[in-house]
Amino acid sequence: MEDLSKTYGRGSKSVPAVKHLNLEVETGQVFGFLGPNGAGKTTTIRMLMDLIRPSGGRAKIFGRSVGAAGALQRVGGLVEGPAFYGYLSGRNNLEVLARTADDYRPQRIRELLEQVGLATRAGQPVSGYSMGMKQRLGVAAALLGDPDLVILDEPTNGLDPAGILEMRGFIRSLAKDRGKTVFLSSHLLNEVEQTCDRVAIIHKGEMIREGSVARLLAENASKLRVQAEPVEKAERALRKRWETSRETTPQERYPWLVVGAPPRESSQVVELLVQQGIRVHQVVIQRPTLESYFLAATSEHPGGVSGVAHD
Amino acid sequence: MINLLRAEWKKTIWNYPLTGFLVWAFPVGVLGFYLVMLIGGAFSREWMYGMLKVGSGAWTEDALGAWGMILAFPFTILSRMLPLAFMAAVFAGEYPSGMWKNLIPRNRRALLILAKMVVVVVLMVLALVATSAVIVAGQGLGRRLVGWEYGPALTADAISSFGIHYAQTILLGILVLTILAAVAALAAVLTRSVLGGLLVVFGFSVVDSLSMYVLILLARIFSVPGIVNLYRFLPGGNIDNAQSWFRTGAAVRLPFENSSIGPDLAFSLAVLVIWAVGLTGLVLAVFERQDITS
Repeated sequence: MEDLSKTYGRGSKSVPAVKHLNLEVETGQVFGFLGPNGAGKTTTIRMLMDLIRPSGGRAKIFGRSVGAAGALQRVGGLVEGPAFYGYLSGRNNLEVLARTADDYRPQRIRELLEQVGLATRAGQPVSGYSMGMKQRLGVAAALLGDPDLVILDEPTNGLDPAGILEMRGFIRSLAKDRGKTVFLSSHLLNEVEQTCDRVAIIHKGEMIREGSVARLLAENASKLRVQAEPVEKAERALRKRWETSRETTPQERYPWLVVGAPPRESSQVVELLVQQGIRVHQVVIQRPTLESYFLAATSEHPGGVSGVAHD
Repeated sequence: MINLLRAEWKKTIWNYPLTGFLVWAFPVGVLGFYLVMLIGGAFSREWMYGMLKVGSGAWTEDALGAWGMILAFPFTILSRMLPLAFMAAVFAGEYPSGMWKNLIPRNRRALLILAKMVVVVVLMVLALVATSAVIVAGQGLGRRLVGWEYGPALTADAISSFGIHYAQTILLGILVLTILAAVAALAAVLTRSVLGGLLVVFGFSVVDSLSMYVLILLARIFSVPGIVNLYRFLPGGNIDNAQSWFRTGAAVRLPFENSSIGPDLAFSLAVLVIWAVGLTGLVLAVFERQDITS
């Protein structure tokens, strides 16, 4: 994506949804595309799928501009939830989509239905499918043309925990075993953290962070969480040496002290507190998560998280 | 393109409520009419006579009569409603179902619209041909039962003459159906809803059917007689004129003070082709630039 932008409406009623996005996804990666509601994720994905015309900039896929004839031949996508003809069976829906792409291979449809676990229900009308089944069929539809790039927008919506786990494995296997590039948009940060190699975070239509998951997490170092009594005395003692803040949780008896000390200094923290006659109840290591990173990154940008429409 | 047409055909044909009520309603409705005639006729000859009088007495005219549902004013005001509803539903239906996001990345937008136009026109042609066949069969059987003649005799000349006339009517029907399909597609693309599309195409059809009277009224109101000549460039006037040429070999007589004879056949066909191509081009241009946000 080079300077990719989209503004809805004109004049004084115009609403910028995506602003000058620059992003490159390397072949074979699982790339996470994150952002709060209204950030511009789906608008960006729709521009990549040639559903929305950019107001500025351009997107290229495998070197070809989106919108050029045949540019999406190597791309499969599931955009903003699955949509199918309810009166047709799952198999017939896939046949209609495959024929629309002029690439109808019955054997391929059978294989995909097996892979997503719908082989036994493939002959039934989609109107009778659960949300999870439709989601699986949506993934099968995205993979119909054996694409090199798979764009998945919230692929685990409607799936139960076992389904989410299965889908996560499936997405990873697309990249690892079949060499596909996956562009994944999801609200489930835990899922993204465990699935993606790199992530980009957009907020109010602008890119605010991009990098490998490992590097972004390294930016937020591990900390120690301590419960001690008396807490005021403990806080005073720890502050002399480490950055320390207090976190009160209503359901717990003692407040937590968040100490900016690396895990290897945990023994020194305990020793300091004990030497001063403070009782130590718990010391735990707080590892950085993508969720904490995401919340910190988006809260740094003013204006809340609901300012952009059309996402 | 063949695969795309097969995809469009499958999803349209398998939508039984849609095609059942809005396409096959024509031949099935006529079949029902003649079944009622035959059942009632078993009890009352008068009943059967009354129902047989719906026909013209000639199988050639009855066969062509089915096409009057989309070609012959004033029937068109009401009888076009079902095909128009069908077309509006086919084009606009992809918006509420969210299916465009699945279809557009798989093929060119223009081809997706053209495939739909081909399928709706072919389906309507098949339905009207089937309706012709059912009318002729029903009238033929009924008339045989009551001992009435049903001509003309099946001579080589009669069959040949009818074949040419029927082929000309189908050609004209295809042109008209293409114009209606393009209007339905344009309405669907602009309104993105089945109901919105329906209202626009109904409006177009009624205005087109009544255009001659509207123009006469406008000419009188504004005292500009030349306004009525616009009729020569509207679909309705040229449909009437082309039918007159096919049926009688002469132009239609127009109830205008200053121009009582319609244009020649080539002009009328050219105007209809321009409408069909122009409206189709307009739909493709609008759809090509449209953002799909659902």
